[in-house]
Amino acid sequence: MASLLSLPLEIVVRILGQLDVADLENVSKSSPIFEEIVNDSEIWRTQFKRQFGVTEFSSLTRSKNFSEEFFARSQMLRRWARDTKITKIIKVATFPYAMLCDVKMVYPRCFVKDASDIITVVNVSKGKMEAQLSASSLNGLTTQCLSPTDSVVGTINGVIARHQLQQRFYYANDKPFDKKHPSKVTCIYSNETHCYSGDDKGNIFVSDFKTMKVEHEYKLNGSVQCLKGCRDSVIAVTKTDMHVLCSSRGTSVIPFDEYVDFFKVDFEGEVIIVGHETQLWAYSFASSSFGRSTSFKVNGSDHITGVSLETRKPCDARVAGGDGLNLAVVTDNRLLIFNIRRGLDKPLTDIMPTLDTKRGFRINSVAVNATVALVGCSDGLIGCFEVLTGRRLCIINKALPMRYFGVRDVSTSHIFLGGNNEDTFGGAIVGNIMIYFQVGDLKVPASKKKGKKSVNGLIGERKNAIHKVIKNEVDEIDYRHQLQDAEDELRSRYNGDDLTQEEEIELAMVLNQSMQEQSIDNESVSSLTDSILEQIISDSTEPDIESTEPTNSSAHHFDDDYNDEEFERHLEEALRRSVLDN
Amino acid sequence: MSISIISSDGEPFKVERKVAERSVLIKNMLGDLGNDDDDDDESFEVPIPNVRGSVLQKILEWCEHHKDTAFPDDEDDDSRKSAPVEEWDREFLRVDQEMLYEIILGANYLNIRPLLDAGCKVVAEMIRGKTPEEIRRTFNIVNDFSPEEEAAIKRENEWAEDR
Repeated sequence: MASLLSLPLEIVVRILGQLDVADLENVSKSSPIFEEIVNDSEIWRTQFKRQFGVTEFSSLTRSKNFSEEFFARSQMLRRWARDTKITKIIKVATFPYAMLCDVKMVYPRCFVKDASDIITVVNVSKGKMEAQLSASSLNGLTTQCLSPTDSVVGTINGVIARHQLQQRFYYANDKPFDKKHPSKVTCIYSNETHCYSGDDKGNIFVSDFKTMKVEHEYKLNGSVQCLKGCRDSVIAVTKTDMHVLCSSRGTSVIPFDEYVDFFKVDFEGEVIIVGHETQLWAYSFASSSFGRSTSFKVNGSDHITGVSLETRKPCDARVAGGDGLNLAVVTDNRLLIFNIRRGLDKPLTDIMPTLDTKRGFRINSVAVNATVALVGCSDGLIGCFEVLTGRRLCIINKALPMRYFGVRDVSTSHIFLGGNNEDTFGGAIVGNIMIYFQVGDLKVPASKKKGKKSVNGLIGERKNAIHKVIKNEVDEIDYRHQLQDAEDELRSRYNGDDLTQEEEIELAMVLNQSMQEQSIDNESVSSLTDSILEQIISDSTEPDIESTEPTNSSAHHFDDDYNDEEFERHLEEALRRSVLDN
Repeated sequence: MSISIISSDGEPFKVERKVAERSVLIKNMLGDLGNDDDDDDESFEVPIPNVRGSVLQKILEWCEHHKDTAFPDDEDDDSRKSAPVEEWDREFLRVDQEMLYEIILGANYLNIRPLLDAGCKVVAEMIRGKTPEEIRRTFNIVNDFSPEEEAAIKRENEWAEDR
C-alpha cells in the first residue's frame, strides 16, 4: 500500500516545502525518516537552488543549515505575498506644504522632517499626527541629521545641538553640545548613542549623547564632505580620500577622489558603498580585506537614481548561502540587486519592474533587506519584489488620488523597511503624505518569537550539547548580545524611561521655569505646576498600573505610553484651563 | 486524432489529443512522432506501465476538466507554490490517501505539474497545524523513534561540526 513515506524523496521534499517553520518541528518529531529529511542540508540546498536559482545569497536566518534558510525564506515570501495588508495614509500637514525630506521610524512612532526643518511626529499604530516641533531654535543651520531618538543640527558658526525626540522632550528647547567646532559644520550623523560631526576645516567630533561631551576627536586634511559612524568608528569622506577612523584600530585611508552622491555604510558588514550617478564602488573595511573594492558602472547614458543597502547585519561566510549584504540599485527604471560578497560585476537580479500604472511610470526610491526589495514609484505606488528571482510579490498600495496633492506627478521620495529581516512593515513618503504599511500577518513580537522558538525546537535541545563544542562561536554571539544589552540599557537611560519620582518632579519644575521665561503669567503657571504635581502624587498612590492592565498584546504599546500620555493630557488640560481663565 | 492510453492493467482510455497533452510526457511522445491533426482516423496507443486503470481514469478526468485552463508558465515555479488550491481541484482530490498518493505518483510520472502541485499542497494541508502524534495517526506512521534517535543526533552533530 502506498503511504506518505513510500513516495519518492523528491515528492516528499515538494510536500514539506509547502509547510511553515512551525509545522516542521512536528513533522520531524513524528518519524525519524522525516527528521532526517528535514535536517538534511543537501536536500534543501538542491531544493533552494531549484526554487531560487542561486546558492549564494544574503542569509535570512544566519543558520548553517540550508533547510532552515529554505523554510524561513519561503515563509517570509508567503507572508509578503499574502493579500491581507494594512496601509495607512497619513497626511502630514506642514506649512506651507513643504516637501518631506527625511524620515526615521521607531515603531510605533515615525519622525518626518520637512524642507523647512519642522519635525512631525506620527504615531503609525494610531494613524495620526502626534506633534509638530521645530528642528532647532538656532539660526544659521547648515546640516542636520535625524536619528530614531534625536534630531541633531549643526550651524554655520560651529555649534552642534541636539533635540531629543522622546515624548516628554517634544516641547523642550534643543541643547547645544559642550564643544564647538572652530568653523562651519558640514555634516552630521547620529545614531542612538553618539553624534558624529565634521566641519569645514577637517575636524571630526564624536560626542556622547549622555554626557554631551566629545569622546573622540580626529583631524583630517580637508573639509569633511560626508560621514557616518557607529560606536567608536567613523567613516568620513573628504575631497580626496576616504578615512576609516577607529579609536581602537587606528586610522586608515583609502584614496577616493570621485564626486559623492550616494554614501552608505554598514558597520556590521564592514562595507562602504560610495559613488555618483554613473558609478558605484563598494569598499570593504574589514581588517581581513581592508580596502578591497568592487565597482559597478552603468551602461551608456543611464543614471543611478536610487541606492539601498541592507543594514545592521554582521556577515558570516560560514552560514548556508555564504551570506553578504544585498545592495539594490535603481538605474532608469531597472532594478538591480547585488550581493556585495559576490561583487558588483554581476547582479543577482536585473529586472524591469512593472506595476499597473496609468500615468508615467518612474522608480524614485528603493529599499532592500535579505528577502525583498521595495520600489517606490511615481504616484505613491510601491512594489515588492523578491531579491533572488526578481519575482513580483505584491503591489503594496494603489496610486494615491490626485486630490491629495494638487500637483501632477508626485514621486515617492523615501521608502524604508522595518529594521529586522523578519519585519514585514515599512513606510514611504510621497509628496507631503506618509504611507505606513504592514503586510501579511500583522507583525508583532509574538509571531516573531514563535518563529524563533520553533527553529530552536527544530534543531532540538540536543543541539545545546553541540553548542558547547562550538563554544568559541557561542562566545562571539554572547559578546554581541552583551553589546546589544549595553546599548539597550544606555538607550533607555537616554530616553528617561527609568526616571524616578523625584526626577519627574524636577522635570516639572524645569518645565515650569522654561514657561516663565516664555512670559506666561504666573497664575497659570502655578496652576499648571500644581496640577502636574498633584497628578504625580495621585499616580503614586494608585495601585500598580501594570498589574491591573490586561496584558494582552494589543494593549502592549499603550502600556508603554501610559505615563507619558497621562502626563501630556494633564499638561494640555491645565494649559486650556489657564487660557479660559484669562 | 484520438489517443488511446493504456494503463498498467491493460485498460485502454480513449481521449482527445488536447486532453492527453496535459501530460508533458505524452505531449513529448506525440511531438516526437511528428503527427499532424489531418488524419482523423488514425488512433494512437500510449502505454503507461506505471499507473493503474482506476488512477489513470481519475487523472484523465482532471485533464478533461482542465483541458482549456491556462496554467502559469512552468518556469514561474514560485507563483504556483504560493497560490491556494483551486476549489474544484480540492474537491477532486478528496479521495482516500492511497488514491491521493497514486494520483501524485501518476502526475509525477506523466509530468502534469499543476496536478502534482495541487496534490502536494493537499498533503501539506493535512500536515499543517498537527502535533507529531496526530501526524503519525493521520499518515499511519509507526513511532519507531527511540532506536534511531542516536543516529539522528549524530547526524546533526556532523553538519554542525564540519563547517
